[in-house]
Amino acid sequence: MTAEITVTESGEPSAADAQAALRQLGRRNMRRRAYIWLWRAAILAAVLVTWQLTSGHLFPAFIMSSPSQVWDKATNWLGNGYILSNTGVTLEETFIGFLGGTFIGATAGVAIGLSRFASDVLSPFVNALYAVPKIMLGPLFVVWFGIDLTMKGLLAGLFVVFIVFYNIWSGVQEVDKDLVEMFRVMGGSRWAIIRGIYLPSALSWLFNSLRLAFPVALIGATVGEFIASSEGLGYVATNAATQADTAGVFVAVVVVTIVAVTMDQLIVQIQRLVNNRYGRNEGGRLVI
Amino acid sequence: MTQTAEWQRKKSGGDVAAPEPVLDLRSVSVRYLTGSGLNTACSDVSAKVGSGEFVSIVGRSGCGKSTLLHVAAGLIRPSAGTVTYLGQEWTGLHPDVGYVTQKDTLLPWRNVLDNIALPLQLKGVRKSERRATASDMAASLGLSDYLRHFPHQLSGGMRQRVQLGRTLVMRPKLLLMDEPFGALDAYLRLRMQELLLSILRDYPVSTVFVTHDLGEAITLSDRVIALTGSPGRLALDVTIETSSETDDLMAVRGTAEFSEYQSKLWDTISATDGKK
Repeated sequence: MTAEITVTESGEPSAADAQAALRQLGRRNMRRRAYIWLWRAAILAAVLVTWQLTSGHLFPAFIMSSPSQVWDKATNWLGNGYILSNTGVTLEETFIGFLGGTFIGATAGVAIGLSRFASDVLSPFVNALYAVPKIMLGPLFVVWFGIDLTMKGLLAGLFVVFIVFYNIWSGVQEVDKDLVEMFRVMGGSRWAIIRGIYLPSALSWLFNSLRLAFPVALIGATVGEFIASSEGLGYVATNAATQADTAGVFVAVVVVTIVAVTMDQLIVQIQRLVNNRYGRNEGGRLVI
Repeated sequence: MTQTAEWQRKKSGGDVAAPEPVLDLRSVSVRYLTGSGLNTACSDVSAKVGSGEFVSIVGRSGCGKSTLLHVAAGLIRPSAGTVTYLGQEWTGLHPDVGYVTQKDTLLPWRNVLDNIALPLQLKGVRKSERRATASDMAASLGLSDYLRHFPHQLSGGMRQRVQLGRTLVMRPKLLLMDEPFGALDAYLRLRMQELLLSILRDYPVSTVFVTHDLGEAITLSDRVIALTGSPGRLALDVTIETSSETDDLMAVRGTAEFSEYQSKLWDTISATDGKK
C-alpha cells in the first residue's frame, strides 16, 4: 500500500510530492474503511431482510419471529420500562461478580503465584477447577444462597474468579527470570522485586483478563437467572420462551449483546489509555 | 602486573595498577549437574583485575567465559576456588558490582529516565535526587532526547546504552559485561565500543568484558584473557600495549599491533581445534 511518489532529478522526492502522496494514502485508507463499513451494513441488512421475508413462509412466525415483531416488542418493552428495570438487575449481578471475582482472583493469583511451593502443590487442583464447568455448581448455589440477587452475583463471581486467577497465577510464574536476576544484582530486596517486577507485570495480565472476564460474568448472571429468578434479562428470556413469545426472547438476546459489546469497548478504550501512557499500543499476552 | 601505555591510560581513565586487585579469582572451577552427568564449565581459572583495568575474556562458545562472569557477579558460587573483591572474600552478590548482559533487562513499563534511576531507587535515594543523577547519566550517553521514551520505542543500541547507564549510575567499583554488543550489527557495535571507551573516561571503573569478538577485545582492553577447551582453562593472559592515540577504533584495527595481537589470540583459541 505505497503511494506513487515522483522522484525529482536529484533523486529525492520533493516535499510537496511527499505531502501529496501521504494525502493520497490517507484517502485510500478512508475509502477502504468506508467500504468495510458498507459491507458490514450490507451483510446485516441482508440477514434482516432474509429473516423478515422467510418468516411465516419457510418457518412458522411463532417459531422464528421476525425483525418487525422484535422491533415492536422492543419499543413496547422500552416504553413501559420492562427492559430497563430488568437490564438494571442483570447489570447489578454482573458487576458484583465481575468486580468481586476480579479482586479475589487477582489477589489470590499474585499471592499463590509468588510461592513456587504453593503453586506446585495447588496446580492440579487449580487445573481441575479450571476445567470443570462451573455451571454445575448452580443448583448447589441455590441451596446455599437462595434465589435472590446474591446467588447470581456469586455465580458470576465464581466464573470470573477462575479466569482472572488463572491468567495472573500463570503470568506470575512466567515473569522474566532475567529481570529478577537483574534486580538481585542491583541489591533489590524480595519486596522490591515483588513491587518492581511482579505487581506491574500482574497489572498487565489483569487488563488482558478483564476482556474475558466481563462476558463470563454476564453469562454467570443470566444463567443464574435461568436457574431461578423473577427478574433480570435471563428471566425475561425464559419467561418469554415459556409463553412461546420468541420475539421477546430475541429482544432479551439483543439487549444482552448490546450490554456485552458496550462493556467490551469500554474495557478496550481503558486498555488503550493505559497502553498510551506507556507509549505502546499492541496488546499483551493472553492466557485463556 | 599492568604496564602503563598511552592508550591504556586514555581507555580506562588512569589510576592503573593499584596495589590491591579489585577482583581476584583464585583457582575457580565451576561444575554442575545436568541430565547427562557432571559438567565442568571452567576449571582452575585464576585471574586478577587491577583497579581501573579493562580486562576482556575471550574464547569460543562453551568455554565457560559467561560462567566465569556469573561467578564474578556473585550469581553462581564456584565449586572450588575463591572470589575476592578488594581484599575481601565474597560468596554472594556484592553491592559495588554492576552487571550488563546482552539481553536487555530494562523494565518495559518504565521510561528511559526511570529505568536508569532504578538502582538508585532500590538504594532509597529520593526521587528528585535520583532523577537528577539519572538524567546526567543519560546526557553523557547521548540519551537526553529520549528520557520519556519507553524501551520498546528504542533501537537495540539505544537500549544497551540505557542498560549501561543504569549500571554506571550506581557508581560500581567493578563493571561486568557479558557480550553486551553481541546482538548489534557491525557498525553499531563499533560505535558502541567507542561510546563505552568515552563513558568509562567520565566514569572510570574496573571492567571485565566477555566477548567472542577478538577485535573488540583488543581495541577495548588493557588485558585480554583467553579461555580454551571445554571445560575452559586459562590459555593466555596478554597485556595489550599500543602506541596508537586515536579514538577511531576502525583506525586501530588497521594497525600492525592490532593484527599481531589478533593472530596471537586466534592461534591460542584455534589451537584446541584438534581436540574437539
